[in-house]
Amino acid sequence: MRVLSNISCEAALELMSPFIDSMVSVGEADSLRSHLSNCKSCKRQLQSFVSLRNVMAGAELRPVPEDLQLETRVRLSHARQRNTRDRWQTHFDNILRPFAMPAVVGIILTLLGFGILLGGLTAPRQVIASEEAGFYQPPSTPDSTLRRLGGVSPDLDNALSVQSEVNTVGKIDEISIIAGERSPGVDRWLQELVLFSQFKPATHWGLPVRSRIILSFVTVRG
Amino acid sequence: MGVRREIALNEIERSGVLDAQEAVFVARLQANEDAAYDELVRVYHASMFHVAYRMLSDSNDAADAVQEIFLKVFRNIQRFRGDSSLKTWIYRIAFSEILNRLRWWKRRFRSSTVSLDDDHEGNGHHLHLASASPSPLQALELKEREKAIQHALTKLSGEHRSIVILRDIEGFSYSEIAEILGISSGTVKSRLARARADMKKSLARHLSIQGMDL
Repeated sequence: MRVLSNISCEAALELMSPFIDSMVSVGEADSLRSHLSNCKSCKRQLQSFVSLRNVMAGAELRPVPEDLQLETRVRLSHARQRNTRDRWQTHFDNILRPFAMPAVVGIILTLLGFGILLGGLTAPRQVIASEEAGFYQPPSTPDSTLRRLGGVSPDLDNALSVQSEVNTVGKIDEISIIAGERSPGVDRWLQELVLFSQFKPATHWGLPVRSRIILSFVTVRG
Repeated sequence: MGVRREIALNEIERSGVLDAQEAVFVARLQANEDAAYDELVRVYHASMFHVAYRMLSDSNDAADAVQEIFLKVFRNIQRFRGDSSLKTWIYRIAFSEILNRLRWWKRRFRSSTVSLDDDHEGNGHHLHLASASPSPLQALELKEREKAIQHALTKLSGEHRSIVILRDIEGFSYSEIAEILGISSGTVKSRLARARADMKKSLARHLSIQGMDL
């Protein structure tokens, strides 16, 4: 059916955009054509619409960044991997979650049980004060050495106490009187003591070490 | 993987919108096939970039948007039931992402600034020229016209810009545009008319008016 009635320029203008896209009815198209045949202004308007469409369709394309495709693929690949990992993680969590709480409670109870049991079985720890001394052996000497030297000691009016430094081979390095009277006889006797006495050196963890001993002598009369 | 692909394929084929080849391709995507995703990116990355650039007027933003679009395609592909063509569905995701970005910018007063990329510095903004070697004058005209088109587009609202790009540059039909933008065909028709009228004013200098037969 042809529509011969004329339309206004305003109405014609509204039809132009869909007209160039063939999105008007046959009647609307006929009305527009009829109007345009008598209206040069609207005809120019329609020409500008067509020109606009051509200009837009022929618009040059912005060059695509060279690395866009690669970057997109990489980012997409990471997202897909993460997604797969998350899905497995969720699956795993869903399986384990029902067992998690009983397992934790079980472990705590087991630890407590063992703690109490072992606490009861184990003897309380005692601090051994002589632990260090247990590894230390004081110097010693055969009884005969001091007895022999003591037998030739000068007559002493009072008791004589001497302090001696025993070296790592069991010999006396230094000797000093810490109590008693000093005399030439006592000095000579002490020199003999230094020369002839032999000790078994003190040991620490089995190794000979220097040590200090105090010897006391007293004359027994009668 | 094979079973999953079969199930997806059956569901899509039931919709009846996609042809067999496209249905198979969608099923491969839903089965998370590496090769299918590589193909998807290869086929669509350029058109996505062009659309994003037309809408956002900035190469970096456009490239970023393209990557986000493909991530959204991946995240939503399982929900694709073949009610529209894959291309239309991808464009719907693309415009959703791009219009969201434009709204975000608008909230931060960036919409008033027109980037046009490197034009101000005079470097970059190289065009893909249709002919192999246009004359310097032609190249200049093309560059001027391209700049004018992009400037005219940025003067439109996001909704109007989308419609002009989808119709006059990408060549979608009114019904496809309606589907992509989630509006009626009548709205597409009226918005396109208004947008074209605005574009016509902005590009008046570049439009040639010659005699035409109706």
